[in-house]
Amino acid sequence: MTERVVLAIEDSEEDIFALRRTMKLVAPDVLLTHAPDAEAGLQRMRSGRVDLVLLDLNLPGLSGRQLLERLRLEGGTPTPIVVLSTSAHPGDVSACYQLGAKGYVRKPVDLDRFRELVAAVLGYWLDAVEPPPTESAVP
Amino acid sequence: MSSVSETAVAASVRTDACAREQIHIPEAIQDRGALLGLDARGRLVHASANADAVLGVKARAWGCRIEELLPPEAGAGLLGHLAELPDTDGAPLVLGTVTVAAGEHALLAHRGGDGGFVVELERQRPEDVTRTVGGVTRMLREVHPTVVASAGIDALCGIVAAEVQRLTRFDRVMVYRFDEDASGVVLADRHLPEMADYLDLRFPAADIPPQARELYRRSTVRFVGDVNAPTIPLERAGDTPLDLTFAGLRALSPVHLQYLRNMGAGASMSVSILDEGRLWGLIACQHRTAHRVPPEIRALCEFLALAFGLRLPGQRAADRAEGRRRRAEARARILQDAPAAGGPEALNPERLMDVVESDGAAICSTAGISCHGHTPPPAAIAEIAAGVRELSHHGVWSTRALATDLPEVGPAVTAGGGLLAVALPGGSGDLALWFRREVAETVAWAGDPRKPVAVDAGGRLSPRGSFAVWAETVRGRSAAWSQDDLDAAAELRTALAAALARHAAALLKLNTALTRSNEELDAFAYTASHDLTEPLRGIHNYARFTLEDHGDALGDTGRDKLDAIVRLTVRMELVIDSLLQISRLGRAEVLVGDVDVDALLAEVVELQAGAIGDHHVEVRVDAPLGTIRSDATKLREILLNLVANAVKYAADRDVRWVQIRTRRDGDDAILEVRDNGIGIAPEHVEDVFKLFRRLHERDAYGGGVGAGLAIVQRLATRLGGTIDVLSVPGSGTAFTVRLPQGGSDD
Repeated sequence: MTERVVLAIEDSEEDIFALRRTMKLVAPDVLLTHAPDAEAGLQRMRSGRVDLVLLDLNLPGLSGRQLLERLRLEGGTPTPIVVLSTSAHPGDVSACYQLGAKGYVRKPVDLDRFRELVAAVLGYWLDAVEPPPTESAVP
Repeated sequence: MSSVSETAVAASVRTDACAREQIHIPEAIQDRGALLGLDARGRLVHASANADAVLGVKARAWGCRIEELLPPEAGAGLLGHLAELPDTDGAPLVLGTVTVAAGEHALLAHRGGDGGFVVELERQRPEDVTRTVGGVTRMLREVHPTVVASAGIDALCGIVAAEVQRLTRFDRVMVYRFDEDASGVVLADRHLPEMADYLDLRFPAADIPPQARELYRRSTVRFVGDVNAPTIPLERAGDTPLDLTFAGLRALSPVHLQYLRNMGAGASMSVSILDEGRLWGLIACQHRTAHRVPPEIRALCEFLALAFGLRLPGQRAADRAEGRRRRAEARARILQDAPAAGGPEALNPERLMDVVESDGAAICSTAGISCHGHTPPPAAIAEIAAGVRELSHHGVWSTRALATDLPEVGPAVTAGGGLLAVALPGGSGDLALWFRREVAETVAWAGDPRKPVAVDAGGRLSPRGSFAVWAETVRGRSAAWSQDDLDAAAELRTALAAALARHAAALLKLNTALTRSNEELDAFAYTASHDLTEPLRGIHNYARFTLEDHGDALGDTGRDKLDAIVRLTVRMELVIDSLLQISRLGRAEVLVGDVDVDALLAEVVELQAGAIGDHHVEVRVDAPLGTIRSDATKLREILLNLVANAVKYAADRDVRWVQIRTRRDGDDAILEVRDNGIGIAPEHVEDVFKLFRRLHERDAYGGGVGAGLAIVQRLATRLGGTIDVLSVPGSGTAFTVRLPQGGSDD
């Protein structure tokens, strides 16, 4: 089985550190790649394999919401994007879903809870779900 | 009925008779002198029949030159004087004194028609000259400045009447003003003590027929020294009669002379007062016997009338400006009240009376009727308002006689009197109403105005014979509403509309600002919670990582301290979440619908299933809970918090339960959540709804930050309801949420 790749678009050093530690623990066979801002994230999405994007909303420059918007304007992406955010402003939540996010997860303070959530999200999107066939595969 | 038709006939007879009379070409002069008419080259073409006798020459040599008719010292310079006469219409100029066969005469001249001239010789006495000189000095030094400085029309009339009497020595001098219907009213009357007073007396329009008023407008002075003296016919060389419009000796019409005789006058003078070219009124003078007024004195009276007339536009403007100022002030006071409450019901009828002079005022709006002063009873006002709305949907409507103009409104309602109504802005049919009481108005006519003509013994028409005061009583009518009254009402309407529009705009602005500040507050709460939570999570994680990576090296004490950090950070997150939730409660929209409380409870029990199971609490519902009209989300939050609270504080006993009941109490729905838990000590009952107020040790009863009941209370308030608590320590607690059902939907 080829190695699965998770792209975290996240500017917080602490959060990426926590995520890296968490993934080593709950999904050691998944590769975590990191982009510190939205532009870098978009570039990484275009340049190589990404199976799941974990997107922070509060980013320097282009925000997470704006990234979703740009992707949608460009015709969407087959890669599932799950928002990982500290806040759960109802406006943000519904906007993200409207812009094509596949999930919205609020980052809890409690590390145990965080680990459960990351395990659940990765388990669902990388293991449980059958991804849509790529365009070339459509008969 | 018959008297009415007689009046109509009499009026038409009189009008016809007067209309036929060409009063400016009477072809006769008065007998106090002689008149000569010259053509453009100064040759004789008209002469009064007495010219030969007066001049002592053979005058009617038609075509002879004027110098040949007058003594050399007068005749020599006359042609030069004539050439220098002003081109404009006007009273004759006094050129000097001439002594002829009939004695000393004043020599007067003015331009006639067709480029010719009219030369008049008027008998005079030596003392006339002295009177004139004194009069001019007095006029310029004293009278004219007084006229210019006088305050108000009434004062002006008094000064002018007194001064004209002093100049002319007439028995009676009146100042007389024409009203819009051409009848006239006496504004000042100076007369000998034994004579009747004519002040405020009204003269019918027919007394001075239209062509006379037109003549008076063009030529401003008329004088007849003896109404009983015979007139002297005019003779002429050609066919065209001489136009005597401006001639001082012009003979008055026989009808006019008879009118004066009927009035008891032996001599008469009238001087026109013009107001911007319009005949405003007259200075009317009468003498019981024949009387002399020298031409120069008449000219002084003319000057006085001119000065009077020049004061009128300024005085009128000042009067109106003063009225406008007063009304504007009153309007401003009204507007101060109006916008505050945003509607006509805020208007004060007492203040309305400052805007339009009236006996009573009312505001008739959808909110009801308020009135002040002398008005019909409110029920009658409502009927009148309905009638007025039918007559006029917009603007201003007025009547002097309600009984006549609103006959469909019951007669008891409209005993009489006047109404001025203005539709208030807003389109809801609200009215401001001003009432004027019926005046048993008495018009004091100088003689019966319905009998302006009489037929004398010889079968000829003559003006009415009696000038005894004839009082006419007018019923059912109020004093007239002036144009200023109507304007004031319309201006009030406009100003109110503007004020309401400004008010609406201000409200809209305020609403926009409120909405914006609500949104800003919401965004702020989220940003604050986000920015507090992020570092908190960092602290938590590093404490955890340190425990995980170096736990063994730290020892028990070190691990305990890091554990405390971990615990505190989790608790802090709860506090931040509660604050965020509470800050949003007051602004959250309330969406009312029929809420199925059984379904709601099922959701709550499912959400709390873990805790309910852990604490072994039985959820009891004895009867179906039915529906409550409320906001489903908020009611769920209330129920969730109350059930969670009951579960959390379950007592240490075998059977633990929480019971949920609903019932109706009048218009309110009651939701009750009771338990057999630990209860609340009486001294703490008041504190249970306080934010972050915990009654137990921090980690007892499952921890928590003490926000749940505070949130419940705020939600209940937001739903328009209340929450009460009843508790017996050791045996249980009951929370009662009361939610109004019948009232407003917000």
